[in-house]
Amino acid sequence: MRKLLFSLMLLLLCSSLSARSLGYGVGFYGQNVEAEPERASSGAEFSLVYKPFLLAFLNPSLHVKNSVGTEMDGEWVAPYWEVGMSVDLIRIIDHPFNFLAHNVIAYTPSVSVAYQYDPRRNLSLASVGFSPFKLSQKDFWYEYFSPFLTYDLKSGELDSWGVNLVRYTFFFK
Amino acid sequence: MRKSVVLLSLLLFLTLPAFAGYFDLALTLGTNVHMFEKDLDPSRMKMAWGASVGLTDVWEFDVQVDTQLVPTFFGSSSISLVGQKALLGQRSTGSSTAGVGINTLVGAGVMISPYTSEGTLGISHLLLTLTPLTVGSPVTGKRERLFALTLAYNLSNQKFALLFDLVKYDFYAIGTYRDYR
Repeated sequence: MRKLLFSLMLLLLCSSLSARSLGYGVGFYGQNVEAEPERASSGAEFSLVYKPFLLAFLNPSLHVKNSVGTEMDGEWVAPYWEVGMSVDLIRIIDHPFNFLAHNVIAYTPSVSVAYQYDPRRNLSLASVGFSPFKLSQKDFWYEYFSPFLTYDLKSGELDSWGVNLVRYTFFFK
Repeated sequence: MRKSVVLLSLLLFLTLPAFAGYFDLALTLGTNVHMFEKDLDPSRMKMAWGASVGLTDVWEFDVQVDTQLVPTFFGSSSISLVGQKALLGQRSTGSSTAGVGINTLVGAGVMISPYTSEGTLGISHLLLTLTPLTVGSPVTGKRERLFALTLAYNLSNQKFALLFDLVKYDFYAIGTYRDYR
């Protein structure tokens, strides 16, 4: 507990190093559970992001996510809660995806690893994700077509796969 | 059925020069959800892709393919052919002056899909569509279409369904400020 508090204090102190480091995001997710196809769902994904630095390479950030959507039978569910870390592999301005935005914008493809909890099945999962079309400005992240896989932490087997078609993150502080 | 669709598409393509001056062409990418027809289309998430063709300063023709991503990755698809009118002003001026940057689109069309009682490919739905907000214009080279709702009347079972497109991006290749320099 003390370590956790110390880490949080350290993170908050570091946040003054970058102009805006706290953000919230909204995305459109779809997820298919391999063993239980009837649990496939889609809906909105909400996230909180903490980005303490602005590095040109391997820029890290922390996130908490929650999704709310409907399953195949139309029932409303919250298929996952997630805590994890993502790393922007590179940050470049001169790239072929500038046509995606109105202004010049940085291309920052990222990978993520996270702990995911599925409350429907009381299941702990490890999630890995890739955001190949992630564009970053000072205050915004725009992400398109970001796939993810989850693995059962007990058996190590693939549990589900999904994709975030769009995700917008706004940094407010 | 296929022959008539091809003929119709060809006819539309041939008439395009008649609209010279306002003609613009965009590649479309976005999201789609098909609701209230789970027995015919069990998709949970679809990707929208296609083209938007500017016909006049206020009319456009959109071809939109909706391809299922979840639960089957690149599963079944449907094609929507829709004519749309801009309600708030000129979508393009046909010159280097940008049209109205914020607009609303309303339109009608048909869907070609296998989502019929028989499961055969053909004209399956009549569509009425409303896009409450578009940001951007052909002249600026990019446009976002937000929160599009489409009422879809299924011709095979006489029931209504709903299509919802959260966001669609139009990337213009023809008809931008670059063409009016």
